[in-house]
Amino acid sequence: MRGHLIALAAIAAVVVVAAFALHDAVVLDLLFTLLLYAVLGQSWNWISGYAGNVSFGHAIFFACGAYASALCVTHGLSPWLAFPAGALAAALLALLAGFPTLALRGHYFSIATIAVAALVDAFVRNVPGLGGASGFELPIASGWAALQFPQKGPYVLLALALFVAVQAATLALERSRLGYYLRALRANHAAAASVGIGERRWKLIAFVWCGVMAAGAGVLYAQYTLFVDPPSTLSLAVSIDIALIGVVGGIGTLWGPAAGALVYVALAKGVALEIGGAGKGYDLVIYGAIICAIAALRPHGIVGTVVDAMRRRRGALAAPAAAIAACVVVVSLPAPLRAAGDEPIDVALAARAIADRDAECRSDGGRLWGVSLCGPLAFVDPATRAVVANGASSALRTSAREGVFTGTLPGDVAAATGVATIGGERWALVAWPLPVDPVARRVAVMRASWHRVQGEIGLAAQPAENAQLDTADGRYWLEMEWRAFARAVVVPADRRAGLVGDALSFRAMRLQRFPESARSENAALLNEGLAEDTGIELTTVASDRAIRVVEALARGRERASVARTFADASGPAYGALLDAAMPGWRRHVTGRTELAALLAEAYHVRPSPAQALARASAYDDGSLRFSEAQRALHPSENAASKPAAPKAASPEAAARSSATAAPRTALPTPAPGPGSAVPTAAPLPFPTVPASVALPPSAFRSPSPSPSPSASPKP
Amino acid sequence: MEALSTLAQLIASGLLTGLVFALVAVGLTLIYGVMDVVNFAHGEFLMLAMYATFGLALLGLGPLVGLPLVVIALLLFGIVVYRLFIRRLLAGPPEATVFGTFGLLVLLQGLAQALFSSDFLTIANRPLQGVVRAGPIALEQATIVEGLGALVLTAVLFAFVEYTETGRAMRAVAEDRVAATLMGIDVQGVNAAAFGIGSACVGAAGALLMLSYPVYPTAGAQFALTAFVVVALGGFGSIHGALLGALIVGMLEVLGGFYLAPELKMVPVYVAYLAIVLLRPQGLLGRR
Repeated sequence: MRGHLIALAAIAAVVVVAAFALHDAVVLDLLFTLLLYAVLGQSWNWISGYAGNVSFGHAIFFACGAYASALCVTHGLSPWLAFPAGALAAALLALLAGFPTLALRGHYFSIATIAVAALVDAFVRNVPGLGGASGFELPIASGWAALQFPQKGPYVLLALALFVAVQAATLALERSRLGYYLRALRANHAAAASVGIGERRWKLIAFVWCGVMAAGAGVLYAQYTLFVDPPSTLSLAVSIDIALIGVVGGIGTLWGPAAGALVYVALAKGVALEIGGAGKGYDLVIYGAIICAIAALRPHGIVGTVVDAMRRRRGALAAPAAAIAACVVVVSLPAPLRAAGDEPIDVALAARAIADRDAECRSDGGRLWGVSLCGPLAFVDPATRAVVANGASSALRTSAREGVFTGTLPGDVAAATGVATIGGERWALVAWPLPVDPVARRVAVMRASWHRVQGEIGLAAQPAENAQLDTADGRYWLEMEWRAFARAVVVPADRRAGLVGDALSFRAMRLQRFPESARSENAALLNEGLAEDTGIELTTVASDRAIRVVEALARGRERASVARTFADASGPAYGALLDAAMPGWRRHVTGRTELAALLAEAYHVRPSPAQALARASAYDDGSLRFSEAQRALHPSENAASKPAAPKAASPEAAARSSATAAPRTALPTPAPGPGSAVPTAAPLPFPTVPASVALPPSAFRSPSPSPSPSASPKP
Repeated sequence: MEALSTLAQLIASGLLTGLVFALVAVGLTLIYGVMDVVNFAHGEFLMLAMYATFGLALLGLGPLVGLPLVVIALLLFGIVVYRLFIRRLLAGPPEATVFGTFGLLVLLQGLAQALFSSDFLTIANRPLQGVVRAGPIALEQATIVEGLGALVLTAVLFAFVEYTETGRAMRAVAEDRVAATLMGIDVQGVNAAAFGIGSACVGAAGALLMLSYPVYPTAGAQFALTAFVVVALGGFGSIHGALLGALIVGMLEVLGGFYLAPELKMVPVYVAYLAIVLLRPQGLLGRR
């Protein structure tokens, strides 16, 4: 008894000193995680260790606390209220779930806890007001009243307070009537019942206490991560982590859960840190192997083994002493892994972006390109060089947090969106902040993922500049091409070929004026164009594809300069139109493919400048006429080297275009800076996407039903 | 009429789904019945079988041709795992088998991730992609072959346990281990055989499932979770119970997925499990 109390006091003293003295976010994060898991493990230990009812649904109590915290904060209440509210909810849930199930034996009880947890999960996802599948993001605040802190030290102190309380309660349990009854029931329930110990009553009491303890941990977790959703708090994986911690340390022992949490944090997190490998599974291999080894060689868990050794010698002090020593080791161990202290990247948002990307690339599974787009991905803050990655990497000095990894970018890597080789691995880097619009965010992340593997596909990442497109002539025929593309993606399949022919004819017209740019335009399409197209294809349901393509074209039109970005607008149109007519075309794309020729082949069209001139009037409604005057002033030979001056559209044209343009296309054109010699275009009447021509969902996944008649050039 | 033909369709696919669950669950319950071990890595064995089938498909052997090879491979794998690992767990306290097999689960998932990455892999040119129609019911050929194949293999296992010498020895060990030892039965040998045969069941199931599912490191987990419920519902250790439980669970899952919502398909399964064990704590056909 005294030995245990002294050990507890010693641990508390060490942690308090660490919380004040250390400012290393990585170490404090590990300490917080360790204490939180020790509390959860101990909570599990009460019902599964002392009472012998192995639970695989313990996360429901943890979730009670986390959700209580989220609900309190989002309803404007004090997060401190979440402690009693979460505890009360967990206690009621324990009574409700425990009353029928605690009489079940062995694995019947374990499976019942899985069933109960799954039902709670379905409840939370489907009952309004509980955040659904996406959960809650807690607003950021600071101070003891808000229970949020910019540093991690106070969190560690709170977790320590909870840990000490739980350990003290367990110490009391071991010497209480409840504790003796539980162990009697575990050893032989029939014998216990025969001396009048009511199984259901005493186990229910223990179960309620379990709920209260785990709910406390849940509140701290929510206040720490500021993000609560079903997978991170309620899933079977969380329950199993808790159970493994309880069992690895040694079940039914006072220090077992703490020892188990130490092993879990040191192995699961430490192995991930040291071995790295960005989700390659090596950490799981080592963690799994160690659990197997403990099960086969030291089946009573760590504490059981230590206690055996102690019994043969002397005193109970050595076990806690070992725990203290281990604590000290953890505090000093990751010192070389120091990362930047502050984290300006919103980890929860980054984790969500990573989860989105992983789900998308997994469902792709190499379908588009024959290679998986999954792999190392990191968000990088250009100001601080802090990164949030989807896997551990020793070169990034990562530490695990909320299912992702935070670290720092090495000095020799540019902190910008792109692809970089770090620690022998190719990483897709995306500069923070991400676009606010969720669709744009997904596309941006997927683009980077594609750039990471484009070399494997055989497409070199070569920057291409197409200055000719910023000339009046170049811009005119590019915008004509985009208008034709925008119409082509929204019309029914049988009318598409003629419009594709028009688009490619406008392109042919442009290239007639700038013959040398065919190569650089194609290079941009094969690089940024296919990246944007892949991003849209994988983040959009088929029925929305046409709208996304039109939006991409509209974004291109709003840009003052398109010399470097035209392919972002054209690429998705090429991709969608090729998907509709030539499924599987991506597998045949190489660095030498000419996309425009491929598209012409897919639709059996023969584009020509003559057709462009004949068809121009069908697209040019007057708002583009200004460029004819430009052409008169600046002969095209000079255009590439000496771009024309900006010129506004006529008032009539502006009025006409604003009457027909879709709301999203009516955004103001970015004004060129003073002295800029980039021509701007007036907003164009882009075809909107009326509901009446909404495409069937499969429009861009299925082959064109019939070969379209070739649109022959008119004289 | 419309509603009735929908129901007929759902029941047909529910039964076929249930038969595949049965094959997975029968392996699990056989192992439990003989040696009181719930193999939590059962789903990972299934995942290995699916990768093996995928590998054979790369060599030109389709899933149905490769099935016997995968079954033999998993049989041997099961025996090796028993001899090297499970045997040691049995010497420890009961919880050792729980976290030992959990460790195996984590280890195998990690290995698969390290060796094959997290990508979804689907065999190229899958056979049996057509649809068979019979009155109001339309079923994919692959689903039919999976269900009927699983039924045949489950029947083979029943016959094996019922009529062969090894099967009788297994039942004897399941009945009373001490008495079986006294009767001169090699309990370790019977355990190894049971673990091997239980693994062979998921070997067969894995080969069949590759007809319509992709494989990835956690592909087996969902099937295994369902199999645990099936086994508990039918009664731990009861092979007939596993078959009955599997058909009930398969049916509930398909009906729940249709009438509630696809993401709620497991809700009726769990509710049914809780309701049944409240009335019969030993499961439908289990012994107390």
